[in-house]
Amino acid sequence: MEKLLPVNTAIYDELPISTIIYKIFFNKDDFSCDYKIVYGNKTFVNEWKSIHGDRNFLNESILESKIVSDDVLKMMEKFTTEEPHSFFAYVEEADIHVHFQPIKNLPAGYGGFFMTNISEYEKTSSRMHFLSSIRKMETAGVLLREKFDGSVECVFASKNFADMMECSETEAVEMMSGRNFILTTHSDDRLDVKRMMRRRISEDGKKFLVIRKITAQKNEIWCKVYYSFIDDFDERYVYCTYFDVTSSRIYAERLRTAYMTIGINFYRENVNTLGMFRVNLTKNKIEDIKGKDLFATDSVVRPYSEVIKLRAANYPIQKECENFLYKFSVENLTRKYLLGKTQISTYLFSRRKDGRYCYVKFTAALTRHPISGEIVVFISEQEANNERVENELLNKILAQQFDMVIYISNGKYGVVVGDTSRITSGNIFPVTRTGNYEDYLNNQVIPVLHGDDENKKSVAEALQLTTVEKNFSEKDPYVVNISCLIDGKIYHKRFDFYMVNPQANFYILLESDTTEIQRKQIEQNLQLKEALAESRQANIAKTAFLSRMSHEIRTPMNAIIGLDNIALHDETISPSMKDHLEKIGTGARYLLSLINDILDMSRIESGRITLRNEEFSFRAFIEQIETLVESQCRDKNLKFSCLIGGPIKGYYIGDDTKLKQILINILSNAIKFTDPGGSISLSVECTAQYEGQSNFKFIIKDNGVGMSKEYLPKIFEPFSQEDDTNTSRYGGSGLGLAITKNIVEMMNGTISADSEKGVGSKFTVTLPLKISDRPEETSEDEMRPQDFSVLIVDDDDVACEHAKTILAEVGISSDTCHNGEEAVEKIKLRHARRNEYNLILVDLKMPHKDGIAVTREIRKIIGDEPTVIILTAYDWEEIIDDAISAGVDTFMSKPLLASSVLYEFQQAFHRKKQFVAEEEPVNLEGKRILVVEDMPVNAEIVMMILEMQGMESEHAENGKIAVEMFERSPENYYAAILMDIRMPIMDGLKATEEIRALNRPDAKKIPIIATTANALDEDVQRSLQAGMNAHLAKPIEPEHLFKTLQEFVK
Amino acid sequence: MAITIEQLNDFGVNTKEGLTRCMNNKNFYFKMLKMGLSNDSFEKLGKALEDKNNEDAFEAAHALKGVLGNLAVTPIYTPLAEMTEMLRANKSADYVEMYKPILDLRNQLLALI
Repeated sequence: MEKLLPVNTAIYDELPISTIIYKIFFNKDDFSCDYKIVYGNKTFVNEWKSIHGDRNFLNESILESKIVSDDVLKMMEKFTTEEPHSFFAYVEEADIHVHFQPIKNLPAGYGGFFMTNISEYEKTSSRMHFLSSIRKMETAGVLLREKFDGSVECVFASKNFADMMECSETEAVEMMSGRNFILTTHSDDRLDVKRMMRRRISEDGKKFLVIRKITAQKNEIWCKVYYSFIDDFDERYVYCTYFDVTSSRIYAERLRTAYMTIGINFYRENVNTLGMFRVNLTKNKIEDIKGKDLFATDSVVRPYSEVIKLRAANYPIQKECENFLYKFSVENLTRKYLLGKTQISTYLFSRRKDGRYCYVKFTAALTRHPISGEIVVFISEQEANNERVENELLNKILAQQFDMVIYISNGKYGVVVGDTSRITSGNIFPVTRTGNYEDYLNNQVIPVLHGDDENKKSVAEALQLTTVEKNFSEKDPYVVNISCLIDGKIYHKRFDFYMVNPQANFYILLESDTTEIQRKQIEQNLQLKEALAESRQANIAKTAFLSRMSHEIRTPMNAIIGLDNIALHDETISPSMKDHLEKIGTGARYLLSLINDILDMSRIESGRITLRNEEFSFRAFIEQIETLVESQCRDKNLKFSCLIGGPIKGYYIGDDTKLKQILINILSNAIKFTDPGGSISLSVECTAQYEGQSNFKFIIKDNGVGMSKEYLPKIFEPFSQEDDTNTSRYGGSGLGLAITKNIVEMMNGTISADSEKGVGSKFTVTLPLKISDRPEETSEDEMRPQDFSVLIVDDDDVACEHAKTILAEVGISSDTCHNGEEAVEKIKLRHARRNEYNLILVDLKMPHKDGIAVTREIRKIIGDEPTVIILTAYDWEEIIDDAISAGVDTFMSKPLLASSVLYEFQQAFHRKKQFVAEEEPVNLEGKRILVVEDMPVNAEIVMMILEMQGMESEHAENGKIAVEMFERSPENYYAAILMDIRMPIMDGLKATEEIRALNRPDAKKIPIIATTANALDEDVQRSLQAGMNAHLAKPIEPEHLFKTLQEFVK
Repeated sequence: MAITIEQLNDFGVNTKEGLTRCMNNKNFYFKMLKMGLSNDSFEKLGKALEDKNNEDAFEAAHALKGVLGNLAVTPIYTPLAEMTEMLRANKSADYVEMYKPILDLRNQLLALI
């Protein structure tokens, strides 16, 4: 066949483009043509086969076989007469678009094409076109492409759509792709959207949906979305156009919600409901009616305007009724609704169906029907007794208490309660019921403020809202009291600000007139002051009375006890006399204890009892108690044991006197209520130690008469004893345990008792004591009786004698004197001798000079060194401050008791030692001393002593030489003079007088110390008179000498 | 040195006290002892007593009392102090007889020292 062709077809054989050559056959009529394909290259053959299979295409009549489409055939016909050109054609069988390019330079009668399948091209370019046209659309739209897996991909989102979604276009694409497409849809609408995408039609057969989208800013918008589904170019597209219908939608939604809410919440019966209607106001029609208090006349068939009249018939108060009819008329309700009111209510006095009368609250809630748009009113009539009464009451109370109640919000105020007409005078009620708070302040309050400028300024400042706000963080209510000057009168006003809502700056301000209250308060204060002064007077009188009484009783008691004591020491008395005296003593001491109890109780009751905080030796304390109790037990033939346990320290800080009182009170009771042969025990235990404190437990047990369980709770009450027969048998004031309990409690302790009648009693006291750092002192440090050198100063002979006897019993030596002057003399002498009294007992009440004045003088002479104790039968609490400032160290009550005197003395010394700082000894080295001594041996020894201490000494053999030496010496050459008294030529006294008389500055000041074997009081006195500073007895004790020199040489 | 502390103690001298006063300096103490015992007031006292001049006697006795007290020569000091107080009170007594043992003891001690 090839040979038939006048064409070299070989060049086309391998061409990758389908190539055919056809031959034109003229039909016999010569008018029409037929065509036969005479050549197809390999590419073409393959393509042909893939479409037509084995169907032959060569030499077939194209007109008959129709192996080319009509479009192509037309072109082939066309090309027989004119120049062929390329064209496109649709190949139906293959469903492809093909580009036909004629083969040029073929011999006449032949034609041919290169054919290219351009279907793919075609598709791409039209898609481009489609997309670009969509992009040009102005609407808010997105183009989505559905993927095979059913998910969507956003191809494009328009600018308007992005704006609607409050984001950029890129973000919008992101927001509409994949899962986001659904996620940005309101959850309630997702199902609708999914259904639309799947079925391509909405539930109700529409191509749109009204849904809510969630914008990038998380706002909810209502959209009406039109969906266009485009399946083309082998892909499924959805073009969605969005219209923002939020505003209309929200309105509709609101309406619906309002309707629903009213329907659900408002239009619901409760116990107070009398009746309810739903009224279509537009139609003036009652749509629904329910309730328990309906009258027969109430009916659904009647128009609302008529029903309301029927209801009104139940309101007996004419004015209320008229008001009601107007307020709830169709016209008024409609107008009010159109003005934006949604609720109208009123209180009415009403007759009920059962004939009772009550307050009702008639309320109308207005809304629009969401569909029809008609105005619908839900009306309820509720019994409102409580509510009404409460409100009424609240208003009354507020009006009673306050001139006005206003709220303040963002600087604006509004009057809540208040009536100007009620305020008769001193009115600062706001002129208008609403306005700016600041204006009110500046125009009505600040101008009438009363007080000095400073005060006015600070009040004005305090009332400023900024101040108010600041203060709310600290106090609510914030109160400001002001004084106003109105019409020449002063009024007091009080502003109470209450915070209601801090975020909204919403406060309530209550303003009240406190003028009357203030006046009353001032009056009351005055009365109180007077009453206080009176009671103080009374109290002082009572205290004075008790103090005097106690003294008046105690003084003779002292005399009795003292004399009894002295008489007992008389060895000449008969045994029966001794017995009488002992009984007198016992009785007197008992009486004294009663007086002390009463005084103690009165002190406790008046709160005048104070606890000391002083260091004391615990061992000495317990020993003292043991000694005291043991002797009493021995006297009554009782066994006594004392047990101490726990980690007990040497010293504690507390009030040992009071602690002793506690223990002795209980122990004395135990002794009193235990019959001879019984036993008593005291156990002391330190149960805990913490933070510098020790807890102590004291248990006092006896096997005495005991108490009944019924009586136990009463034992700590004053004046209680189990039965009167006991009182007569055992005696006692009945105050002991009451006092004890009070003291224990003052010490932060507890006391409890356990007892059984006929078996015994057990008292437990627990209390804390502060631990002192001081280590336990060795017994050498403690003052022994012989270490005391005591002077007793008392105007009363018996008292002096008694005290001396008591002290002697303990082994303490003492001197006595009868008045201050004598005491001062004695002390001066002892002082000059450097043999001081270290303890001075001074009676408080003495003629001429009382104990405190004497103490003051004593301190002047000898300084702080000796311990001064005031002895008194008085209650010393009153004078304690005075006494201490005068230099009194402590007090002891008269009469002295042998059992406690040593302990008390030791304690007093011990305490004093804590406060008196050890003085730094003066360094005597290098000091020059003039030794005036006629006896060479004595002089040598003294000089030797001085030199050993690093001092220098010069010797004068008699007074005359001494005076000369002193006169010749430069000023302050000698630090001191040691002066013998008895010397030839000129004795020490004369020499001292001459030295003192010299006219040079150091003559008066130089210490002159007498050293003499003459040590009688008169000698000492003479030395002092001559102008000597001290008087040391020979033989000289080196230590004594140094001490004296240290004292003077400074 | 002829005499020892022990010997002095045997005489009844309170050497402990005396030495303390002399700051425990033995040599000084002995020196002072010698000085004190050889004091001519002993002779003065003897003469005054013989002359019944109680005033002078008191002076001398008082002075000696001071010295012997200082040195703690107790056996001489004690009777001497007694005599001093008697003389002070101007009591009449056989002072010469009283003074004899004092002087004897003094001479004995002085001889030893």
